[in-house]
Amino acid sequence: MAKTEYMLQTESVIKQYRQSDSVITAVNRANIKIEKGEFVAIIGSSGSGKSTFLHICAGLDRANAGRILIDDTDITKMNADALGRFRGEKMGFIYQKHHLIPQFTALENILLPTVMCNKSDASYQESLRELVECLGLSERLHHLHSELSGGQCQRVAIARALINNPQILFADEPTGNLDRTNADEVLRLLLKIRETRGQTLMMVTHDLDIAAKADRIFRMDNGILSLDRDYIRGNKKTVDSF
Amino acid sequence: MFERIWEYLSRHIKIAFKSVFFNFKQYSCFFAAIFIIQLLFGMMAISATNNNSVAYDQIAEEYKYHYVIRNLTPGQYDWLKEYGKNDAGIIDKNRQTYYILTEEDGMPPIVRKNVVENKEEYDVFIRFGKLDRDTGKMQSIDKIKEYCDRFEKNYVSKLASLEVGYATPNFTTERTLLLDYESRVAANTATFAVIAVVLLALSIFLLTSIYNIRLNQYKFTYGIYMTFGADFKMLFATAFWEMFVIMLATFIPAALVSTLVVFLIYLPSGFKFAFDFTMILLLFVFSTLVVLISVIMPMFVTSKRRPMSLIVTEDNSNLVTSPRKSFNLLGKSFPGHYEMYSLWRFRKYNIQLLTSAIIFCALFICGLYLANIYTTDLNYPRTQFTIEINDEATIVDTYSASFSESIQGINAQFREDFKEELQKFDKDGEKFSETFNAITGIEPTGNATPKPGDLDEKEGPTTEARYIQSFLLVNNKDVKPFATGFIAYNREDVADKPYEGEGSYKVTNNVVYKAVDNNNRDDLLAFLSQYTIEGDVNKIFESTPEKQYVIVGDSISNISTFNFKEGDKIVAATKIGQATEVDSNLTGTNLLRAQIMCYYYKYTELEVCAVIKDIPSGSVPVYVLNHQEYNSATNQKVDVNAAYKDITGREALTTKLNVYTYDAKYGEKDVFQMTDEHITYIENALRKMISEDRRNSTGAIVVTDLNQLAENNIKEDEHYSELYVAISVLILCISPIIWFFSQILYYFKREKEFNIIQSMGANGSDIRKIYLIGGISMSVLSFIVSIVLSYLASYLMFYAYNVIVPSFSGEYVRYTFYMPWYALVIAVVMSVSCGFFSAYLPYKSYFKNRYSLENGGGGKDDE
Repeated sequence: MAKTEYMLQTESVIKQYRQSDSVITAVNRANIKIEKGEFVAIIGSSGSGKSTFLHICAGLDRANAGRILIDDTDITKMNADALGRFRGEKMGFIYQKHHLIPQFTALENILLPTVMCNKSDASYQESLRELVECLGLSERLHHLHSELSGGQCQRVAIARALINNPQILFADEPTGNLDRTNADEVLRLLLKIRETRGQTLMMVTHDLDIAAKADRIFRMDNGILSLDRDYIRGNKKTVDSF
Repeated sequence: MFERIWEYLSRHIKIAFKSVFFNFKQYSCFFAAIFIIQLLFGMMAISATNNNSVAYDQIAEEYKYHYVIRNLTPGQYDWLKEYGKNDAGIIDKNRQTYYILTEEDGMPPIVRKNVVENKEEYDVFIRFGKLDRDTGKMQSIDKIKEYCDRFEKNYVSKLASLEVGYATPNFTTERTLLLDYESRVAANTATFAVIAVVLLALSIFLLTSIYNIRLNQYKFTYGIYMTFGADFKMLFATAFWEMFVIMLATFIPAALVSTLVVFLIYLPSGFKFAFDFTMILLLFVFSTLVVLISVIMPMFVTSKRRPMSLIVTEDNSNLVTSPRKSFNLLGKSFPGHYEMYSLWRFRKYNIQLLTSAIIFCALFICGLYLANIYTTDLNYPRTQFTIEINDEATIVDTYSASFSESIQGINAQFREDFKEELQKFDKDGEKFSETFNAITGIEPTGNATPKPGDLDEKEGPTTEARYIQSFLLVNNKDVKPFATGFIAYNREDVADKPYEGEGSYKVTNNVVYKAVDNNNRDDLLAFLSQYTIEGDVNKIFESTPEKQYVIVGDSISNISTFNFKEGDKIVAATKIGQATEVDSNLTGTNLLRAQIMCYYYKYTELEVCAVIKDIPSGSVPVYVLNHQEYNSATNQKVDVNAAYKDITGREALTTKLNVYTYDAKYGEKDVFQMTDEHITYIENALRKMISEDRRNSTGAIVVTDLNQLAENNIKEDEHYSELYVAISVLILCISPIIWFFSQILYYFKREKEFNIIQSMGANGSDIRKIYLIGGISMSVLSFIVSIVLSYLASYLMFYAYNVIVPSFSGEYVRYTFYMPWYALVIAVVMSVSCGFFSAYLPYKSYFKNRYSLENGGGGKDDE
């Protein structure tokens, strides 16, 4: 039997915030293992700590305790610069709000990660063409974000997250700011590209319909992460793998 | 390779260009700041180039010769003259390497009659090599120095042997500044380097400050950059290229404007204006260096933060600080209490803003202080001539009373010879021409700082206390608070018998004892009359062994230290033996403390009869009577204790005379001004006087024209004053840039908070009050901070010029502390108005474009 290859593993991740005299535990000993190519959704009520956990897994925020391994590399031991470079190479991130840089056109926003990772022009041409075509952005590439619709902005944000062809994609409610039609369309495109490229996806969402498309669903409740057994699709994954 | 470099550059410059010009308002402050920095440096660099050519022009104008030999005998002069001819004596390879300049060349008369010996003396002015007067440049200064060295070696040494009657050479030699042109250039270059370093630090401080402010308001962008892989190097690169683009945009205008400003400053001075392209290159390098260093620290700190902390930047903590505060947000104390709390909530920002903005006002005051200080310099008495009256062969006895008479004679002769000139300044009832004294004071002195072996000779009318292990006991009440250089006098620590006088005492050895001689009473009175005196100076001549009077200065290192009044008592301690050796490694007050514990002392009580309020000094001067007869006029011939010798153990033998001449206040008009002709007249008269008095004993007589040197320096530096004023004004302009930039961003970020408050029930009037309270409170704070910082800056400059500079140069010129009030008013008005209007402008903008509740009250996007 072939050994399971994990893209993301967390061990007892704890995140606490100090407010005046009290300590709030946003993430409480969270453990998760996500296989390469797997799509995992995390659901939970507002303030349950799911976004915080996602940020920590992507190295955008710091955990108070615990280990996070991305492709068997412990990112909690990395310094800020090394983590930045690692993030640029291995990870992609989609925020709920598109967070496009206003002075740049759609194309420039998409290419931002290639600049940050110092990639040569030749290295991303194919990926760019594929993304632009797939996300239907070819007509809007030279527009500023103020000239794009919400859905188009989010599609640009997806292209930006995928331009470096990351191994794992983190999405923090990527359709949260969109209406149902736009949300479905954006999600469809995102999942299509992910599937084509075989990338791992970890998504935080409120929307159970979206979560239902995932291979596994985890629930975050008051900082405690647990596998939501009700939504295991077709017994694709077993409880043991958790 | 080149393709990658091109790719890198084009990407970064494109990103930088778009960032800067898309968000022009955010970056407008940087345009202004970098432009000012470039302007400042450009002006400094271009004026430095010009100063070098000006320095040469001034020297070349003043000195047409490289070398001067004074007081030659006719025989020596003839020998030199003959050898100066091309066809006589001088070996071929040195042909035409020196020329004796004559009156035809515009030199002063070289022959002077020595009245005493009834023969002529000659001054010889020599020029080496060739000087290209057309180009205004020296011809091979190294070659000229070589000629000079050879001349000294081969000819000057022979001059001495030509006159067998003299034990030591009677002539003096002097190399002029024309030979030391390079050292002047080097000094200018060093000054420029120091100023450049200071400017670099200042510029980095300014740019770092405003970059931090911008970063704090727009950290979201950097959070996104970091999300997608940016490390410190990448963040630094993005920031640097942004600044570089701005620097490029302002470079040419700044270079042009700075050239124009310096040109306009030099134009009225009549100096030749020189343009050096290297300086423009230097400006480019300097600007690049400034923008490069300025962004390192902000970007380094940013790179250490987690991207999410940069992306999530909302701060409406006023609204949710505590449930009670949130519930009562719009209570009775709103908005006063609310905004005062905001002041505290953003305290770090406010402190940073106040200090960084107002520090430039303080620097403005420093600049004006600097511009003014050169001219203040000449308003204080300064030695015009120094006359050495001893030589190695002969120990001269005490300063002769006949000197005083000779001085009176010189003054009388001067009045006679320049009667017509002086009469022009006669006014009704005041005969200026009859009372005028060209020589205003004679100060007998000696080697105040002993050389090795000097102490053994036990001579000198001035003695520094610390060199003879003496010290002064001063009653605590007479010492001002914060005075330095004192230790408490603890009677229990004293080796032998302590001083038993009443009260508590402090001890210092920063004292110089000066002998007062009854024979030269008039000279002393004339000399001291140059200063502000409290008390009766004449009383010192009424000293008796029972009651010794002293005249005392009020300062140490030019800082007023004592509260002395007439009748106060001071005590001089004189070493008479020792219990144990003192550790030779000790210095300063530790040494003094150890001496008090190890040595035996006797104590001489001295009553203060007069206090000199503004005498320049490193150590406090204490004038003590020396003469053996306390009242020769009454012919009482009473032997009194010669207090000076009693305290110092040294004979008061004068080895040097400081001569002070009449000097109109600098810049004063319609008063008699001494010209070079008058100074030369006095110089010759003094030489004659010294020759008559010391004909059998004296060797070299050095008469140095110090005051002329100082005046020349000031005239040379006049354009500096204008430059400092221009630079100060530019520095002042930085302050409003920081104010408006910071406050506009600050209030812009708070607009969302104001919208939320409005959604909770606050009305427009409340928001207006918030802006108003913010503006007024910043005005009040800036009023306080600007006064404190301005006072501090003035005092620091005063301290630097009065204490630090003299401690290096050894020349004490005392400046009284003054606050440039007009500058203070400008700084305070600028700070207060900036504090208010930097809140008022965002207020106007908010109400003009406010996001009302119709569009959600959510304010603008962070991005």
